[in-house]
Amino acid sequence: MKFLASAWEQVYGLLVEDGQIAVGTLAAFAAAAAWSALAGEELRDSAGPLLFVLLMSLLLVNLYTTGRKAAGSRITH
Amino acid sequence: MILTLAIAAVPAFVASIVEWVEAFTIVVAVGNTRGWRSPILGTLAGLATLAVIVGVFGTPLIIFHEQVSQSFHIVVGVLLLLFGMRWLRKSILRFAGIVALHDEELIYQREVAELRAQGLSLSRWDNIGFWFSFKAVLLEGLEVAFIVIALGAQGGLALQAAIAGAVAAFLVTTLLGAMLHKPLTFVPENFMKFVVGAMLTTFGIFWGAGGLLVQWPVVGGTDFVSLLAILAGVSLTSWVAVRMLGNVAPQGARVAARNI
Repeated sequence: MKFLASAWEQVYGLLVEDGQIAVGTLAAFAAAAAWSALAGEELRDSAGPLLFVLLMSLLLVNLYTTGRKAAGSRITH
Repeated sequence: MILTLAIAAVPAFVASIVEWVEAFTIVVAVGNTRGWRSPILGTLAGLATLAVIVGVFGTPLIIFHEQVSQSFHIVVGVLLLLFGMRWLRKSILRFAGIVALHDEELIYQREVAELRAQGLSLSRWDNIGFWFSFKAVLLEGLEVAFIVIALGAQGGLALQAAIAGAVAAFLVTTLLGAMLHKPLTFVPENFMKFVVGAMLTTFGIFWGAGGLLVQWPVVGGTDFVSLLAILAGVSLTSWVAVRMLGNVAPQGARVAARNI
């Protein structure tokens, strides 16, 4: 049972180590999908660069907040 | 075609090296502490289980690839992004000193201490040694399995190329480990994790957007230039992030990896 729980924790952790990044990634993809569906033929291809910009912004914001949190406290394992 | 196969095989190989090194550390700890029979059998059992997982989840991708191509691109793109962003984020935090680097030697010593505390088996069959090794290979290999399946979603040949990359990585790691009989501490794990994270994020953006019917610019009859441009953008963002973290936390914070 402990092994199964450990395996599930590992599988869950593979995709969702940081909730903000995982949810943000899905939200960015959903936003790009919405843009692709609603923007029309001429602007559909801009959904690709939009996805890139959203994801890189998410990464920078997440790292910034993580860095601030870590700098503000010393957590030892 | 060659590009498709390389895109499947190379990240699978690099990601696998990182994960097999981590699994190998535990297997070596078991072998050096309790003998080699049970960890070898545990490793083989773990590999067989992983092969079944890849077969079960990978086979439908090949069979139904043509019928549901767009949906697969979206699902694969999202999975690659979830993996890639996670690896990218963690490796950037390690580069910036916010999270401790993965210390294989420390992990090895910890595993040896735990195994010694378990006591030795009185019979020929060592249950603890077997399950320690099986669990290490299976849990570290699960990530490889998911990446192989995601990269192989381009079709049968891509799946074979991804599997070949993972198997080649296993053979290289095992060969090195068998020669050295100690943890492979010289492997630049964090740099390799960054490379894999950047590649998976790039492919996730490229294929995910492809699933949304986005046409990436084609140069010289190939969209390879678009892939390179995305990869360059991801790398540049990562560099900016490391510099930014250097300002936010100039001394680093050295928190345990598991806490962030």
